Amino acid sequence: MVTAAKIGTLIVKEFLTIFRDPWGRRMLVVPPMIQLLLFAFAATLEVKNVSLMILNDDFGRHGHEIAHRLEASQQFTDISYAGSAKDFTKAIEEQRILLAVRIPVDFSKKIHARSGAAVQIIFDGRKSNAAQVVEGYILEVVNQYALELGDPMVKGFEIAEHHWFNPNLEYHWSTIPSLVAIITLIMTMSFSALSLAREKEMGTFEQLLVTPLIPGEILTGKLVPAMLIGIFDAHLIYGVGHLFFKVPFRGSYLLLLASIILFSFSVVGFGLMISSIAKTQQQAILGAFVFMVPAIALSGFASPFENMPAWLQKVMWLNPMKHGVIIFKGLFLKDLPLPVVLANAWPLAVIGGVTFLLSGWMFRRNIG
Amino acid sequence: MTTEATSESLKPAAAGSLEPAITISNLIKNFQGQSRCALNNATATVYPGRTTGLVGPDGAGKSTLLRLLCGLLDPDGGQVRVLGFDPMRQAPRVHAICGYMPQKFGLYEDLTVIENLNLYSDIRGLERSQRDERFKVLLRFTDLGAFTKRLAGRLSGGMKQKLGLACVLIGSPKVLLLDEPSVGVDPVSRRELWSMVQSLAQGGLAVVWATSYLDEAQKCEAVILLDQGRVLFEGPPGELVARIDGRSWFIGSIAASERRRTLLELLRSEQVVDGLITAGGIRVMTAGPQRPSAGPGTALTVADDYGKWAPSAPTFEDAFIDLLGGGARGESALGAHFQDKLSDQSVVVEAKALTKKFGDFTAVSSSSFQISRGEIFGLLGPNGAGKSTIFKMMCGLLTPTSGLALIAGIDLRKAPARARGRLGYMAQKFSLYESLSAAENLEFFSGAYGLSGRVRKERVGLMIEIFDLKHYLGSTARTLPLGFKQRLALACAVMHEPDVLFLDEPTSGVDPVTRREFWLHINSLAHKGVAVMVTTHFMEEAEYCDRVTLVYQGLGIASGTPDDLKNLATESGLGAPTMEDAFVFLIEKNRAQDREGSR
Amino acid sequence: MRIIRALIKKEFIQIVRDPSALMIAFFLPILLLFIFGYGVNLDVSVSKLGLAAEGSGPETLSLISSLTRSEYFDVTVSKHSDYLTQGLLTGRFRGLMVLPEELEGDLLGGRTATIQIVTDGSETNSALFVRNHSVGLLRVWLEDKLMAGKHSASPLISVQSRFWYNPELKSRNYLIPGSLAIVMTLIGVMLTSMVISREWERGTMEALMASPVSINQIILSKLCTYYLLSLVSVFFSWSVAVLWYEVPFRGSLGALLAVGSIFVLGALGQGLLISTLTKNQFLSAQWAMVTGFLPSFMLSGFVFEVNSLPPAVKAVSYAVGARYFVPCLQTLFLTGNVWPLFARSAACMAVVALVFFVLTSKKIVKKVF
Repeated sequence: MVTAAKIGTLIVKEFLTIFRDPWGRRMLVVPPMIQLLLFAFAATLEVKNVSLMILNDDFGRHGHEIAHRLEASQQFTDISYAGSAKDFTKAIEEQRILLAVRIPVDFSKKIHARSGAAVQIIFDGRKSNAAQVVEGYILEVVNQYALELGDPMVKGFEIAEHHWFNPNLEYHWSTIPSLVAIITLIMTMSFSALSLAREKEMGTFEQLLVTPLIPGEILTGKLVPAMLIGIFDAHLIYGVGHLFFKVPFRGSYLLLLASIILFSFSVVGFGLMISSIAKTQQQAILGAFVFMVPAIALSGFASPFENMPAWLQKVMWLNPMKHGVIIFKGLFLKDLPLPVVLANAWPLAVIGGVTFLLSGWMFRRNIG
Repeated sequence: MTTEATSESLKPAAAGSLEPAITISNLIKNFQGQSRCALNNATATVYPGRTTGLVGPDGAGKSTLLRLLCGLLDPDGGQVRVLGFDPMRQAPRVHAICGYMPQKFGLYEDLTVIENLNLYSDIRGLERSQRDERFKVLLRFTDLGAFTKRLAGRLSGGMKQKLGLACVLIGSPKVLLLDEPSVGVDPVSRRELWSMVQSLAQGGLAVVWATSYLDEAQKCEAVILLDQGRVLFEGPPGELVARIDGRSWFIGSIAASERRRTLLELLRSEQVVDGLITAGGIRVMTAGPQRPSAGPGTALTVADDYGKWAPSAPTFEDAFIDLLGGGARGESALGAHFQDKLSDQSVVVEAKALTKKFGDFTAVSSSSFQISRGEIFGLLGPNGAGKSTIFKMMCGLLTPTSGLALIAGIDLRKAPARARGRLGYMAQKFSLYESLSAAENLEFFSGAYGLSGRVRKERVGLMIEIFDLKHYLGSTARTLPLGFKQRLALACAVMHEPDVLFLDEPTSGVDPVTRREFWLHINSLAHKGVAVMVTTHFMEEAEYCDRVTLVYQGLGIASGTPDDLKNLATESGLGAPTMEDAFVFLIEKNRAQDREGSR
Repeated sequence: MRIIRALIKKEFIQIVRDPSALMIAFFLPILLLFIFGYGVNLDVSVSKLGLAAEGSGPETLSLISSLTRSEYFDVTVSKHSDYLTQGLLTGRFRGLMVLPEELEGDLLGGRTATIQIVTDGSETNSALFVRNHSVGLLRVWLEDKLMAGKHSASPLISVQSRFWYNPELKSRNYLIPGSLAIVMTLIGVMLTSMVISREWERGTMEALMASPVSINQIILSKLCTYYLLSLVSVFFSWSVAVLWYEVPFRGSLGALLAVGSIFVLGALGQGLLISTLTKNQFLSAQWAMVTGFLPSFMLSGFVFEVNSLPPAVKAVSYAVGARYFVPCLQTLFLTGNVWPLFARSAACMAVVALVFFVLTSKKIVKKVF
């Protein structure tokens, strides 16, 4: 009971220090919103507004038809024609275009002869990811044409595509749930990693240590406010994402709340560890940075998780982001049932518990 | 008015040949968001070849004035001339002839002593060929020869200031502006610093020395006394002292154990403007030139019971206090509201062979002492002697390598939280939450000490009343004047009525008026049975202690009552030594022994 | 000149003694290179595909074997639709394909056969990969089948794709060069703004300002120092990229130095502006993160295509120096010296740098408060 009252005092103090400073108040909302906008609009591997050049050496009907169909396609907004191979070589080199389509002289002739006509596409490999996506667009156009030219008897396939959970494959439907995790991570990390370090630099840490507060109380007094900030910002992103960006939320809110709590707990554990070790704010800032960049980049947010080497995937079990992204995406889009949420949430509890205990141990060790 | 009178009196000294080095006329400076002027129509003159003391209470505008003098700030009105140059328009020329040492001197802490010197030589354009010669002089002058390869951050406070001075002197300045160079510096280093500057002034430099140590100011040839941005007095300190002639008294031969109680009683009298314990007795300044009449039953007769009043030479500090309206008087409300602790003289703080080693370096070696209820125990020593380490071990901030620290019989290592609940701690540096308001700080610490409900409300209200904080409740602690910061810090340390109070340089950098108020509180708390441990660089404050231990290089080299320590110094040939004399003597003696030993 | 040299020397001594400066200059590059060398991999990978085949005729079997042989898919065939849909939910599968019972009949009877492809839309990227590759694979399979019927060796129209400069299509080859821009941003913006703010906080700035040093000399010495430091750090990262990660380098170091210098200038200008405005390490670090690190990451074409950005965000990206520098780096490593591209980018970066310096000079005054 007394402990609870003392921790309450610590929490009130923590919030007062944040809210008294106008900059501190803004910190809670402005950077998360900037990050939200930046990530939601920019973090897409979609390829739009592609510039392409066509060199049509074929005078036949088919070469013209292919060019025409490419022009009609929505993906290519900027199409120009090259007079010679030199033209597009230079344009690719200087990155004015992403790709060039070359239709050879004997293209129509070979189609008539059915002797294996070929379209050549030259991509800028410096952007191999975009290039591969665009290759898909072109293949679709060309193959469709080839099919139509082929056996009129065979109708071929009709592909019935369904994209579950995100029928129109909207990019921000998958980024924004991840952003709930990313921004909660950044905010809780920034506050918790700096919390003790700031007090050490200001000298208030010693004043705190001579009070009858025990390390567990002090750390809990740091843990709870940082978690509350995380929970607040998670809801901010959830609200803006759901209302403004119209990302559906299909899961259970209570499960979301519970997993946000667990997620911030696991991040704050790391933050307090950094804060217990750091002697100055500068060290804490760097420590937080060194934690956050890989945590975000290797969470499966920026690139498919399966693409990482197997050993690195195993190490990433320790990364709260990895679990958080799965849970939040699942709850937003998939209505993830309780057992699946639990399967991804228990590591968060373990990570949080262990890091919190470790930070307590480091805290004690650093005093002596 | 004052200015006119003083320039008259200065003329004989300035006799003809001396042109003023600095003239300040009708200087005005305002800061945005502050209603009060930082400098209000200030006029003064500084002459070369002497040290001019710049004194005044906290926030009087001393630093602002120095910054204006070297062109770091632009005035809002009036003008400044430094050797004929205008710092506002001719800043480069002023910088070339001016040596300015800010309060926290900008030494690069991650550079060594010699690297700092080299950097400033390059900046000041000192030729390489002349460097060796100049460095040799400066290093001998500052006694830093043995530490050239040490990082500046690892130097003690006194050595840092000396290095700062050396860096400033590289440019052979004609004007030296020093902003509180002696704050946090121990008496030995302080004396050294003073004599260094003194010899520079004799060499023809114009020196401005801002300080809150009034004994230093008294030694200056001239002083400028600032209060709330106004020049209250300008001239030789003796002139100000002369104004209060005949009002200072010394009451000698009071038993050491009775001095504090007697002082408390004396200060209750209307006729006493100021009083403090010093040199084995009590010094009193009265409102008028007559010795106050002592009616039966009044406080004054109490003093008569113990000792004899004798006229005493007034000091500059007396004059200063008088000019600012007198020292802290009356009853300490803090003591009055404090619950009576058992004054059974039982031991509440005990250090048993405390030792702390950092690697190979022994910071404190086998330190033992006891403090009883109602006792004030002083820990003195030069910067870096290990005082703070002892303090931290006693508060449980550092775990001793060996030995025991007991608070009210509780081992700090076994039940730290319980032991800490019994003590109050005021750190050397202001260490409350600067971004919180005064009220929020009080609320927080009352909660942290486990006060709650009605008691909490009552105590917080009481602290606000006692320390007169009500005008500052809403302002953030960062913006409080230094004196109020310290008051708030003391309030937070005593709110839970601790049995033990640890004060680490509580009065460092604080003006004499506030210092007296602090001692009034400390004094009355001890009277109520609180055990107090205190460190200070003001040696006259050590006189308030019942017992003192002098720490040097981690070892207690002398302990006993203040009188005992002073007697040690008499034995060695000094006349009536002050506490500071005793300190300097004992430290030097030990240094000499060290040198002997090392040979 | 002597003063500047002395101040630079001081800065270098401080860098060597300050673990966090060394960390930003040498440890962070290693960390970033590690992340982009191993962790972030945008190469086409093997997607886990669940396959439900309702029929068991020869066409179905031929299609299944064609799918299982594909390098793009890791196929699991199952008859239990529950198992498959559950797998999509938990992330075991990135996509499902259903080959209907009528497939055989439709194909042979000249009717359109319907094949269902279901993807996990919550992983938008993977979903697109699964879709594109399975559609492509089906088309190829069908064409093969049709051609086989007509005894012809090759498909009617084939597409020959060439990926210049990066034929193996390794994302590492363009991510690692791009990360050099991030390294330079970290040093130029974050480290510089923190170091200058520290001088304000520690009071060393006040001492310098009361000496004959002019504010321009102080700034110039900082710029020179951190310019040199970022070159050292970039050269170090470059060596790691070329020697350890074996990214080709086809341009010249001289060109890298030239273009990089202009970029660093802009980053330093930004760092200078931040520290002038805040004079506080904590705020500097925060601003450096939000206005330096994140934009150079998100709006530079480093990972995400600048051309795909919505117009408003794209407009912001013009103010980000890294937007011009990242293509130069990718070109230097993978293509060679393409001077027209460098000249165009350098001109834009110079404008960005100029803006920062003009803004700074308006804000900075040689006064303490």
